[in-house]
Amino acid sequence: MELKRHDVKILQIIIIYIATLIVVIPNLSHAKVTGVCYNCHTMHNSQGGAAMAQEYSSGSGGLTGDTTPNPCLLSYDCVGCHFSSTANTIVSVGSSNIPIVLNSTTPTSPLAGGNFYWLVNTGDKYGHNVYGIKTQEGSPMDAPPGFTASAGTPSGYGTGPASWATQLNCAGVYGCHGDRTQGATAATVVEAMKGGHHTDDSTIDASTVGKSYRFLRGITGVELNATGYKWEQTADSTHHNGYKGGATPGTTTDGISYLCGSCHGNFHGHANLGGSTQVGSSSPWFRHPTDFAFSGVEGGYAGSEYDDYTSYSTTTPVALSTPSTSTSTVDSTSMVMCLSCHRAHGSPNYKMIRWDYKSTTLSTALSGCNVCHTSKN
Amino acid sequence: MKDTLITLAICIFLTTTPVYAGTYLDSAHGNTSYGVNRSSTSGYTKGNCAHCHEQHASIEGVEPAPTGGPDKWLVFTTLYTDQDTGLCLSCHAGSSSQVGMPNQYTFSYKFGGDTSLICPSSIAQAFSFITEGGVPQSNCGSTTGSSHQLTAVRTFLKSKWGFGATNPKVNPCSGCHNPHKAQRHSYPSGSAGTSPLSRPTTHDGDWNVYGAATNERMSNYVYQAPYSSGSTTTYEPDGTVTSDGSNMPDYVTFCTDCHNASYSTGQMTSSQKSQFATVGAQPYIRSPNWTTSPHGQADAGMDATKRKAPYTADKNYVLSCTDCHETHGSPNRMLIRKEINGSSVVTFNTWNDRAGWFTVCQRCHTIDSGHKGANPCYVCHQHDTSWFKPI
Repeated sequence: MELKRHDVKILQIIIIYIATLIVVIPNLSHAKVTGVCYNCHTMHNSQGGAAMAQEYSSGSGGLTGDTTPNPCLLSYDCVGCHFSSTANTIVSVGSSNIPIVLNSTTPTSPLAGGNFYWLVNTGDKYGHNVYGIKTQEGSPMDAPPGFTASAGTPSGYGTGPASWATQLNCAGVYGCHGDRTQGATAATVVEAMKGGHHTDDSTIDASTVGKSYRFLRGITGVELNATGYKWEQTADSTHHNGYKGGATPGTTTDGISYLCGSCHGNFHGHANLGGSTQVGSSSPWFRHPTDFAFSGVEGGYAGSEYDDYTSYSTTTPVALSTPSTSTSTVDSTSMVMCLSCHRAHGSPNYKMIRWDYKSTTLSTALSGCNVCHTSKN
Repeated sequence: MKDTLITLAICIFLTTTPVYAGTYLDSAHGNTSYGVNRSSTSGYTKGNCAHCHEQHASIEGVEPAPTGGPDKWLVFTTLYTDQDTGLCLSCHAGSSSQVGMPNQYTFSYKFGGDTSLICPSSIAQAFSFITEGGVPQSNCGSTTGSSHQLTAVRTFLKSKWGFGATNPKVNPCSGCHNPHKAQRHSYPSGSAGTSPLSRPTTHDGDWNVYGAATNERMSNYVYQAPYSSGSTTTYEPDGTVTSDGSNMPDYVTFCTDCHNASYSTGQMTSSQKSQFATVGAQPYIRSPNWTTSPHGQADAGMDATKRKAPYTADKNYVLSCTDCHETHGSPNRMLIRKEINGSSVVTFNTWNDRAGWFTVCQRCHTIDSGHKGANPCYVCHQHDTSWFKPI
């Protein structure tokens, strides 16, 4: 049968369309978020005459409806989406799994970043005091301890604020996630995350928000996404996040400790931040080092107390220059980082420490310290 | 059934291992009853690292007292400032940063047994018999006292045995003590024991406590402990009948790590030396040479009748340095103890004072007042010389 010219044109269009789908659909399948749009968005903030937008309310300790639409047509704000009234820390919505960082009941298996549950239920000293979760603390804890004005943000994507003018937010100028040059207010913070959740994140290269480790723009690392271990809901020495670190504080700006230091500048030795003036050097340190490899310890690594820390500890994890989610060996190349001692969101322990540093049982209080400081047990 | 029970019991014994604390938890600082407990960090349990080390020099956005910014090795204040000010002396002081700091008396009080010697009552006060420059100053009613000069100790330690190469990196207290291992001294029984000491020569090695193990005690010599204060039946250091040194760290080995003839200078500054007379070109401050000194290992062949109890046996005794010297400071010159061999009559103020010398030497020697003319003892007797100069 001979095709008419009109039919050929239609066929060409169909072929082009199918070819496009073949290219596009695989990319969409690597996006952070999958599934139908209404899992996260509401077109009119109205369904059956009722408002669809909800936010987490620190007053009620749960979600409350809002007739005012959320930015980007979102059904929830950040906390609202990453909140659960159950003890589960991974919640499925359609085909998407949502990491939960705030539970209203004791979380069964807190994720790697910890949980704001303890901020809400134990106190300000047990979590980052984030807008929308709890009211801001008074001075001097209304600003990040060790704050350094206009500090360089990770991977050189701009500089931080010249002063700390508002409560900590999830993202943006006064937050941790997303573009740190966007979203200076609670109303605009979503702009800092724009595009992140939909990005193909199969490669984490810190080039965009979506391609950055845990949407921490400019930070690299390897995200633990293995089935059963996602977000370190379960973790062990061969299943853990791969944190990026630097052998010396000045080595890198894309490591997880640099992210912390971009607000807590005096606690990080990079020249963009506190530098050696605030933190010291290996001979000697003034503050606890981060982004520092065991190979550089004063007196040498071999035969040092750090030499006895040989197997990756999820209590006191380490970073690597080439992170891996499965590396169990701890050696001279392993690096101490902020997350060696702290959880990012919150923990059941004072000052978000990963173990009970304030335990009245001394051996418990020092249990995390002794993972690295093996001679001080 | 019986065999089964026996087997089970054996298995229990074989598989049950004693639980030991680590070295820090065995130390005085790490003790859960009396360990470190800085007043400004008292929210942490006793012994917690936080009492001495500040990870970020910031708690709740401010630096805990004392302030002044972060310090080397994350400690809460400068390692060493002057003779009575520094990290260790912030707590080991009368006005202490440590909650409930007990008094810390001299060797004469604590181990000699004279509990009337209540001054000095802290380590900082013991170091305060001299100024930073080594000049005696008024303290505890004495203007002629002496102390280990901490600046000189620091200078001596610098670049030795893994100690820092610059002054700010050396804590002089670390010359004798490992803060993470030093133990409150108790009297060893059997193979167990404790000691506050760590040899400086091991600082770049294991830097373990010294004087607790059985091979690190004065009983390895022919040792006779002095009498306890006011007694002729009990002995130092614990006021019991034990007198062979089996309950006493080997202070000879410990002290001579620094005080030995291989270091011809350094133990005393020129300022300290100028406090004493010289005869000709000879400075009369010499390092002990324990192999040639009759107070050490050399056999002077001395007539035992010239010695007082409890040294009257015909033996070649080796003394512990602490039999005559304080460890931190003394109201007497040259760290000479106020109480020696059971009596607190020692007043040794000036080098040239023969009478003062006699109060020291007559604690153990039967020396008559006319002995060898009118010279003070040092003219003939030194640490480092032969039998006729037996010090």
